[in-house]
Amino acid sequence: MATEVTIPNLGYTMTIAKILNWQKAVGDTVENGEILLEIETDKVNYGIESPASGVVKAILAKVGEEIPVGGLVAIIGGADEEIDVRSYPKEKKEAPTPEKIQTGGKKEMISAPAPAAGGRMFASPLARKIARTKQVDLSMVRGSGRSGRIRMGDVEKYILEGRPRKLESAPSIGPVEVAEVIPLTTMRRTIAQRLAQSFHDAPHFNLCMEVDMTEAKDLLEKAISKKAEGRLEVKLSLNDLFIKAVAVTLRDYPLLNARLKGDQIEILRDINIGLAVALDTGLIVPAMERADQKRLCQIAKERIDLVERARQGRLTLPELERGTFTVSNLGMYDITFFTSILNPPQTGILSIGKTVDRPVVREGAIVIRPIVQMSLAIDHRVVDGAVGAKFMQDLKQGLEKPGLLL
Amino acid sequence: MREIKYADALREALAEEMRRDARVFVYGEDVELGYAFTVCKGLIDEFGRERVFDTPICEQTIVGVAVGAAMMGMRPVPEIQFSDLLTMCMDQICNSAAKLRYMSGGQVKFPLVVRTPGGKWGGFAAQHSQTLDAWFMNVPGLKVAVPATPYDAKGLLKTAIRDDNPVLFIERKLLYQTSGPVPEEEYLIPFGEARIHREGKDLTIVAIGRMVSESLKAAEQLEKEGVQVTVLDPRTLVPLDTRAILNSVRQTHRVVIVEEGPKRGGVGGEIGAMIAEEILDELDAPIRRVASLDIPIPFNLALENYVLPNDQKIVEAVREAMSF
Amino acid sequence: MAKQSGLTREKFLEFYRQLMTVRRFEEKVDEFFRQGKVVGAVHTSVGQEAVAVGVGAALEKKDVVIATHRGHAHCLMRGAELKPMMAELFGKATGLCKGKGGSMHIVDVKNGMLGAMGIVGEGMPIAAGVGLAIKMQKTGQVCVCFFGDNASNGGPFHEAHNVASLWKLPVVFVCENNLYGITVSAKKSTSIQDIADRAKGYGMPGVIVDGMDVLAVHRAAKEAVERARRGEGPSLLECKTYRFLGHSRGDPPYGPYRSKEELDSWKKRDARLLLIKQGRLTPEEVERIDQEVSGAIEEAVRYADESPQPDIQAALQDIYA
Repeated sequence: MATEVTIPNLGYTMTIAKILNWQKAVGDTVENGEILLEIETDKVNYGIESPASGVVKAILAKVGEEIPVGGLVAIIGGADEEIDVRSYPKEKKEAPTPEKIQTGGKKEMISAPAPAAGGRMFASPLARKIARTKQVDLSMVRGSGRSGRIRMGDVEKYILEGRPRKLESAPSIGPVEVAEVIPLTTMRRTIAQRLAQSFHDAPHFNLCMEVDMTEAKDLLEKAISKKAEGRLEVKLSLNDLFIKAVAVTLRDYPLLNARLKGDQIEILRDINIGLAVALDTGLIVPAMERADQKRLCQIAKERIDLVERARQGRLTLPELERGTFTVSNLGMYDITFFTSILNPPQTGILSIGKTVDRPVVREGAIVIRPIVQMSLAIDHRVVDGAVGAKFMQDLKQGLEKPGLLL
Repeated sequence: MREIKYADALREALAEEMRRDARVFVYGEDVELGYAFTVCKGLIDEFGRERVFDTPICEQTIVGVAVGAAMMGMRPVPEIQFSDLLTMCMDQICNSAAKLRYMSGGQVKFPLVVRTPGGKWGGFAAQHSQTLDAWFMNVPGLKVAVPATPYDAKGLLKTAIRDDNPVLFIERKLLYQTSGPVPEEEYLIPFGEARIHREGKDLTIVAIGRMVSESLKAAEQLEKEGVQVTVLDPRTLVPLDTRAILNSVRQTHRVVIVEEGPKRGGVGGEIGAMIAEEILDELDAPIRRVASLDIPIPFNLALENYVLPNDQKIVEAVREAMSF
Repeated sequence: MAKQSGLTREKFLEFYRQLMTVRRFEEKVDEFFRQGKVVGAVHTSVGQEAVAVGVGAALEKKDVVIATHRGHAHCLMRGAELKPMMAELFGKATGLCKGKGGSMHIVDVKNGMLGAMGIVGEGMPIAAGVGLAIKMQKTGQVCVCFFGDNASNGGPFHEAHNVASLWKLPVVFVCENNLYGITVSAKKSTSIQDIADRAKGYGMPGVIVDGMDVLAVHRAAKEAVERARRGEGPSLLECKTYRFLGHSRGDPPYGPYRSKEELDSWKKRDARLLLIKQGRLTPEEVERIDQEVSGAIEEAVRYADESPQPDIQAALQDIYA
């Protein structure tokens, strides 16, 4: 009795996976639950387990090939069983519907981009025309036609669901020699799409501020020396302080811990701070749950864990999807000031630069203080500048008198 | 409304036009007895051998005589017994009738109608079962009518006879004995006006000749499968009602073109290309054509049916277009 | 001679004028053709004019003529005006066919020239149809259909002769046997020597005529036309003649397939010379007519030169009635 092995749906934005490697070959025996192959999605790498025990009768996807969710990649059968590969898949399977996410009791269904095997997108001329006139990026539309072909109905569905529209197309590049061509990885492509979408859809309003980190640094040094004395398990960093400060301050600014859905603002219940982690392969933002409720050392522990697992590609999907506000720190690269693009669908992102000793004026005199520059980007559709400004003010107060935070 | 046969409808048209205009006359092989497909049967009784007469077997001259007579102001309606034999008349049809008016700068005109049956009969084999409609679409200066029902046959033939230009009136052998509603009162059907037999939002079938009834059969079956198709009959290939075709496809976004002739170089290619040229962006699926295989028509009935299009093949083509 | 033929002096002069009109016209056209002023294909009747002239003289105004691709002479002898004829050859808007037919398809319906037919054999079935219409309309007209020797070998000749005879149509078939169908001599293409013999096979009279003798052609044509007009049916006239120039451009008068001796022997029998002799025309008369004809042709050339090209939109007209 033959069993089909298909690409599972691992997350609400997942539509396609790249085959990384096969652990078994045709003819090998395999046990139910044994890892058959590894795939890469836009978020994680994943091992697909065999759904049955038996012999691998057919392998239908090559390493490097991109297969849509629900796509058939292998067939497991009995040792003596004859399999006619052409008769598979047995039923016309629609790709499984995206999972529904619970947010404050509301369900959300997000249309997924069409599979783009080999980079080409198949869409009917009519679908293309509608997409063109309605500014829909076809790569965001899921096709219901043959081989994932996009038809008019698919584009109309996309539009009716209030999905985001796109920018004007990029200007053409002049006659310059190309040194190397790097195809976009699934992850890169996702980042590209999401950031472009965020940049286009959300009007970013930026507020900048300087914070005097004198007392914060004091606190840190005491904590570090505590660690040295063995009384704290982890080494605290300024980042942990930033995370805590932001999370606590957000309690008073629920609009900054929210997201826009159609013509409704959804205030999110938990304050999950996303940490922007730069990997070689791209930016990834795992989030720390309920950061406002955690103690500094716990924040530090979790921070270290998240970053480490991010580097190893061992984050879980919930960790990647639960962020409600993001903090990004490029201080370790000597960046004193920068602004960020909102991480959709979040409403706020804080960009923190390097803390640097600088001369400042205090009570008429010039003194040297450790100063950090930060900028807050907010989605102006959801909140106005004044709200952001007040948040920044509170944040500054909190950071400059950290004792109040703890 | 009364129902009469396609052949009878044609005969009525001929008789009515001959009564109306003394310049109209009918001739060809075996027309006095109306032998081949009965259309001319009995006309001689009313109009005499002056206006209804047999000719020798000389297709080229049958049409040549029409050219000469038309040039002098008569309105000849010769019958070519099988449309396959139009090959014998090509010079007079394509070089004389279609072109002499133009070449003379408009000094002469050719109000003639060449009537002829095309399509399968059942066992007539390759030289007597052809559908050559497409050939004549490609000759400027001609008009081409392809009636599919008794109603269309009568109305179009009357229009053809009253037209001052050379008309190729291509009937269908298997339609002659089929019946349909035909009004008692006089009516004309203009050239270049399509007829929509049935409307459906999912796909447009453009069908000609006997394929109209096959398409309607297919439409019934498709309806049970939840697919609603429009069946549109252009009725004349030249002039072609492009507007009706394009309007329909703009609404349904899918089209299947059905003809009895071979697919290669057929009517479907012309209509399909026209649709793609004009409204590519309205298409949600590739244009599909249903036609005969590019094979001479076999004698054996089963083989003949295999080569020719039918309602099942139409259904399949529609399904394919829907799933694309 | 004049008295014997029963023709007046005026008639002879008229014949001569007609002959020279055709000849000078054709010579001029041939010159222009070689210069490239007339484009496409041109087939002249220099040398065989007597057939067109002789037959033309036997017709009434109401009669109609169908000719071949070599149809200028027949158009002229029906009374087509020189100016619009020349203009048509130049492709001008003022041409008989508005510049859309050209040499091979010259038509002048108002003068009973139904058309020069571009396809060999095309005219004969059409002539049968014309005859049928005449019979049905009872107008008393006669249709004359010209064709060449090699055309009598094709299908349409046989079909048309059969039905014309069968239905007793008022048609006169005139074969201009100039011994060659382009490069192929009649000896090589035709299974019999005298095409007139074929008439018997179709139950109609067949007559051989000296095509270089206007009077002889006229006599024979008159008889055939009257027979047709009486309703006795068609006839076949075979006029033995010769073209002095090549078939069309690039074809020399002799060389590739015709010998100079042959050409010279026919030139000695030039219809023009014969007519002068028969009518005892004086050199002055001859000179005068030659001048007048040349003058008229010059005028026609000027007219054609000055005429406008057709409007591009003219291409879209006259397709349908």
